[in-house]
Amino acid sequence: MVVINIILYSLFAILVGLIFMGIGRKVSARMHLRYGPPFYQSILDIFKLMSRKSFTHNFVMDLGMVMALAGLLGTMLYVPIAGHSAFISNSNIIVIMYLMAIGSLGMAMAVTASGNPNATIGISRALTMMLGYEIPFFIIVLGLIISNNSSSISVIAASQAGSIWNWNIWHMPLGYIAMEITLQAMMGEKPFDAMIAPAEVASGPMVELSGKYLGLGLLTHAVSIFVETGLMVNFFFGGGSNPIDFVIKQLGIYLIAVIFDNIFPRYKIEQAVKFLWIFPTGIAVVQLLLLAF
Amino acid sequence: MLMLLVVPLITAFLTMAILKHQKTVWTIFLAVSGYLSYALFTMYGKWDLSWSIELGFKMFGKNVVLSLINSPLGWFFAFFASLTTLLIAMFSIAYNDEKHDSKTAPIWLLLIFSNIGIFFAKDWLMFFIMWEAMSTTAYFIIAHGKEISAKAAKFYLSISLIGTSTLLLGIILVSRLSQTFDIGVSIDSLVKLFSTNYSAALLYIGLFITTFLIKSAIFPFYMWPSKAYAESPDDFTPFLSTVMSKYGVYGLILFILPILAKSDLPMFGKISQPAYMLAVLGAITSVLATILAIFQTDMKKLFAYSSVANVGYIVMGLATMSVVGIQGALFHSVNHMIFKTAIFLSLAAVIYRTGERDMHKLGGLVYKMPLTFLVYLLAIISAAGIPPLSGFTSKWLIVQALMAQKMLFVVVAMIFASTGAFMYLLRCLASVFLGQLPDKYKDIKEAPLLMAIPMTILMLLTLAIGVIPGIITKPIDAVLTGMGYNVEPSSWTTVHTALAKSDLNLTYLFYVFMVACVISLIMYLISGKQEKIDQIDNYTAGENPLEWDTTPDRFNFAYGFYQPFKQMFNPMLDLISFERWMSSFGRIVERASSALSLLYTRSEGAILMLYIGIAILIIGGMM
Amino acid sequence: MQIINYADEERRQEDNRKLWDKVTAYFRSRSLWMLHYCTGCGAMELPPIMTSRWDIERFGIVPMATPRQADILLLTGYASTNTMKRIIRTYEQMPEPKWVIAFGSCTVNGGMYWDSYNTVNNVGEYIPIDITIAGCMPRPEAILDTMVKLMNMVKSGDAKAFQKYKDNYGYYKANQDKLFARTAPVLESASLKYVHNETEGSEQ
Repeated sequence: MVVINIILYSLFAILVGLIFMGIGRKVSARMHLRYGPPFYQSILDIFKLMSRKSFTHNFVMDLGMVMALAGLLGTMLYVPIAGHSAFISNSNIIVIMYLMAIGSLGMAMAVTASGNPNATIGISRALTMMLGYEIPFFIIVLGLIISNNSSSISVIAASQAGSIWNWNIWHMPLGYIAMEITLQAMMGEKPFDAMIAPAEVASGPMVELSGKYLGLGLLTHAVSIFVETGLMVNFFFGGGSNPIDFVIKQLGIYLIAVIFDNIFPRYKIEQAVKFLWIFPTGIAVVQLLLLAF
Repeated sequence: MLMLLVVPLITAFLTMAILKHQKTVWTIFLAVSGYLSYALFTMYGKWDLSWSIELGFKMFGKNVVLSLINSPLGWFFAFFASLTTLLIAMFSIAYNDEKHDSKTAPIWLLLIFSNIGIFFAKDWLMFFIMWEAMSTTAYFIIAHGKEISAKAAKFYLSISLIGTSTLLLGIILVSRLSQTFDIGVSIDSLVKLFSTNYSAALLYIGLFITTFLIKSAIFPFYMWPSKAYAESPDDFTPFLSTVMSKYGVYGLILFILPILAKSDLPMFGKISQPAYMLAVLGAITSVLATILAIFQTDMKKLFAYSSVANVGYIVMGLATMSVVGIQGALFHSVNHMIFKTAIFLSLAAVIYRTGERDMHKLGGLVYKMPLTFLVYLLAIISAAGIPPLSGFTSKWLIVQALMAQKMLFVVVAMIFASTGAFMYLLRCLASVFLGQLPDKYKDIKEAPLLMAIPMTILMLLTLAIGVIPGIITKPIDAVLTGMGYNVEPSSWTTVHTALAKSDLNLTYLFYVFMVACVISLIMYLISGKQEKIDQIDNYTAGENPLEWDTTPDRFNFAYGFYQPFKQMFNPMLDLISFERWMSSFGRIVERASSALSLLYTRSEGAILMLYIGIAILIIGGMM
Repeated sequence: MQIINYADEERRQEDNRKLWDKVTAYFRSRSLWMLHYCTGCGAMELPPIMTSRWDIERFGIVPMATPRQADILLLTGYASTNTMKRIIRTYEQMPEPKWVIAFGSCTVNGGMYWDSYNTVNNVGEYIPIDITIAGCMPRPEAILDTMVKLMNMVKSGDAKAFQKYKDNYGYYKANQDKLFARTAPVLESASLKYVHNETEGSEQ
């Protein structure tokens, strides 16, 4: 029974993630004053990629890509969707933080196994960026944990129940601003997308992925969009009273990220890490001190 | 209980006689380790076993007694240390063939003898004797007859001697205070001293803390592992890094923690000031060691810094003074033993086959040594703290404990170090095992069978402990009860913490992850077919790199892996460099001692000393 | 703009593929990814079709960075003999199914470089072409028309040039080898090899 639940939730998350990507492309296109693809374009892309033949260099590529998607699906199962989840759990935030690392590890392993130096450069940039954004992210999360005295996301979401004025965005505005900036880095959008820089490193980690490996990579990206926006909704926007409400809030957050992605150019990797360690971290530390004392 | 000490000692002297037959010597080593593990396993639960011997001379009014006792804490460390030694011994039989033999088996047996003694000592004299024995034998093993290794071992010995001196001073002061050498009684007398004379008590425990920090390589003494671990024999490095770094931790838990828990100390938030100092030292160690590890190119130095960072986590866990924190620290001690041994053994297999220690000169070894690669991969997944393997549980416990005690900046440092660990672990994987295979390593073979067996056992152990944490948390219950905390019995699958609604069922986590793996695998299988292509066939903008005389090892991106990161930190690391201060201190000592030695090595100095001696005799005789 | 092709209509009558192939062909036709690789001066015509005025992303066609990720290879403009080598290597690095579009008159009959010693007059002898666009340069409307035709060809299963390459590989290889024999260097300096001295360096 739990297994069926898990399969349904996974399909839901993948579908929602892909449709978000399609809507994001449509909104970007409208910002560029053009029509843009239909909103279900990413689903078509995934089917096309899965049906293509692909090239592999050794067994590590297969193992890594499967592991990456498995890790992200596992992470998704721990995020409560408006109070529902696939199985009864405590949805501990530290578990989610460490499970997300499986996605990065799996993809890093798969692409460095291909032997292309561009991929390895992309991975070294991606890991440096991960160190950059984990610090402000964790400081904000620490503030939330201490003010709720629990490290469970369902408790944090439930503490905002009631009216719209209970949402954490009004109680912790500085934390929200720092989290917005960190979310840009977590999702790999500009100005923090030095990892996938098509003109610099030939699209970084994706350079040797073809066919179903690229399809698994895109699925991983879609589920990671779902997880990260889902975390943001649970932390700051009250968690949602039913799944439709939850998805609409997630879409709002994702569209803000897409709008920023279209406006900004790209940071160099050391500029990005320095920026992330000074500004969002500083704002988050101020918020933390306000909450703790 | 006495047999635990006698067997390694007698075997050590026996094997010195038959040192020529290396295979026999290492097999005897394996047998001794097996015997010790079995004996310790049967000793679980018998907490009143002891052994003592009364010596002939008197101190403090009664005869001096040297004694051993089977305490839960000592048993915990000794048992897991002996298990690790058993696996390393299996590896050593295959590693020490004619070309690579380090011939250190007898001294290692003496080291194991002192190992058991430290963990089971009941009074300070026994502890100090075994501590000294351990330091000196470790020096000889690290040096193992080579010039470069002797220099590195000298560094280790000089720092270790400072630690031993402070330990001796501390023991003398404390035993004078409590009029006995027994450890339990000295704990109580120091607790009494804290209420009467705060600064003197602080000085006394400061001396002990210094020696334990030196032995476990915490800031500001974190520089010696990178030299010592890199130059020691490749099969001794796992032992050095996992077992010997725990002596300081054992000392802290045995002696310092009960004092800090029972005394009346000024508080800083929820915890006492000395404990907070300890936590800050652990935090600085973790962060600094992680940053330094990211810059290294030598694989053994990189993991030496990684060991230092991991012991920093353990100290941070201990400093929370809460049940969850101590559980996390003890769990991490065992986890560190398992995954660090696996990492060092797989790297030793690579060095055994290729003879190369620099990471950027290797590459693509996954084609030739796939089992070593798998062992290394699982070990780094455990080291990075990723569920469902065992490393996650201990890091989770420590982070939860730090958050419950509201030690804000310490927990941020822990997360920084934990995420930074990801960077250097992946660097070694990508540089050594993945990427292009250089032409000169085209013919190397997989690691031999006797090396593969312990590595596989470690892999399975880390998986088992990750799924069923009860294997380790149940002995930890016994330790905590022995220390005086009252804990409810832990379950086989769930770990608890002090925050509300924050328990975690690890077996469930494993099941969920497996189902997610199956879903992902189904998606992989229903897609199009794949075709295997050559490793050198990469996207290079339409060019063929072999046409331009680029060999595969030059096509591999492994040198300067984290160059932007290093550029960010270089100015800061140039300003504050403990290594520069310590090497200049070492040079001053060296100059002074060579000036002193001139007095009796050169003839003019000798004659001068003779005249001074005669003058003193005449004057002394006249008075 | 409705594009009616009577040949397509005829072929649609006798479409007896399996359902799975038809579904797959539909998905592939709606999500073609082109390689952002520009051989010659015809590359000037790619930015106009990708930007706001003639938006090609609404058909699902996006530029990608490497041949591993792309479906369509665009030969834009003239192909010199040296470039032909790289084009063929890029084509062989793409996974199947893949399609080639020949842009501009230079790929058909040499265009304005028909009598040059250095360019290839008929690209179709070295690489199988699915569809060609004539013009020097083709207008963006013509390019969009061709893309839609290619999408329809993929949907109906007619674009099988990659199959032709595999079946007639001997013919293509013979032509390619004759071409590359022309590009062998004549000066002595071109055959000097670069020798790399390994330096003992460490980062710290």
